[in-house]
Amino acid sequence: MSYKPPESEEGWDEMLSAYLDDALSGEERRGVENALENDDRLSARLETYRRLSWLLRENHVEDFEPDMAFVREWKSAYEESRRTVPSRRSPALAIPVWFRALPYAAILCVGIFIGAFAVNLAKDRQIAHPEETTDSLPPTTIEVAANTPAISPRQAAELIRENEAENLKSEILRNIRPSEWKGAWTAAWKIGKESSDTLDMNDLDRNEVVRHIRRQVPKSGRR
Amino acid sequence: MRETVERRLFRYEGNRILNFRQCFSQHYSDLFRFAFRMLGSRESAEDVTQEAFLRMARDGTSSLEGDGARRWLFVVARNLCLSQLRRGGRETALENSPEPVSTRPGPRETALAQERAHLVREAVSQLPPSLREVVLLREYEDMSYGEIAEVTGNSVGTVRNRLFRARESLRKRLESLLEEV
Repeated sequence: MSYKPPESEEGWDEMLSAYLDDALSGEERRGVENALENDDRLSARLETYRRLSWLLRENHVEDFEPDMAFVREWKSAYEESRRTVPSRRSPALAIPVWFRALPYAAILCVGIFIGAFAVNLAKDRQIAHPEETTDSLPPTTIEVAANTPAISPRQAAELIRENEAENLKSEILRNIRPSEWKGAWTAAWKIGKESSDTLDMNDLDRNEVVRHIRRQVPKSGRR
Repeated sequence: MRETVERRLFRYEGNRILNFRQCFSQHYSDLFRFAFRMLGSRESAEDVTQEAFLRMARDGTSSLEGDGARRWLFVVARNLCLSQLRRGGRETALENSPEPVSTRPGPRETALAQERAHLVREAVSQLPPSLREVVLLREYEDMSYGEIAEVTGNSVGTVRNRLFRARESLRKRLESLLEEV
């Protein structure tokens, strides 16, 4: 930026104030120095500013030494505060780690318990409805299952009996002809009647296969 | 050998305290004087100075070295002073001001020096804060225009103009004294 001499007296005084503080650019400084050589008023004003600066610096000097006791106290307080920073932790951190882990452990245990319960429930459901899963399996699978400790002996016996009953039913249905059903039914009825006092016959009478045959006989008889 | 984390932290803390101590011992007096001249009260000046160093410790700026820390402290102190003045906490500098240090012998000369110092302090304290701060920073803290601009948050041109206006005001108030000098 090119130097432009001030147009007003106030502008020159401001330049002089800055000149006194050595705060002018080279061009401004040369302009002021040229003006000072030719203008007595400016020289007098510069001298006034110089005296004012001297007066301020000379007569405004107070003994402002700080209270050193206060300074020492403040310093030690600061250093103490720096040292005690680690103790400003959250109160929660004062609780032992093992104690803080207890809720998590409890939640984990409950989760495991619920999981185990659900698995057992699913197994029980499979045992209670074996036809849902064992239809496609060979009979030996059931025998093998009976030897496994996953089900009780009573459940195994039931499975075997059901399987045997199913096999018997298939065999009878495969071998008996419709014309023979009537005879078979009569025979079964007779057997049942004659041996109704025996437990075995009662069992036979209640047998699902025998019941099925009995239901089939009248139909075949009508044919 | 690699430095352990603890050792680095310790060194960092050590440096911080060391820097802070250095800042404290180097700048406390300057800051206190500036605050005292701005506010005219020893108690208020102590509060401002303490608060400035407290902020330095809290904000972690004690790692600044040399003029950076000094300017930072002056910025904080200046803002605190202006806040106090705005709240109406300004007190007359003459009330609590200590007596000036005089090297001149003789009771008459001492009395004259005291009278002159009193007039000068009064003239400075009567300046508006915006003019007073630039005079104090220039005449007593010997800051350049650029440094004053940084502390006050103004441009160098504004600083130059305010300094001129402050000098003009003081020249008029201290006309009689200037003729004697």
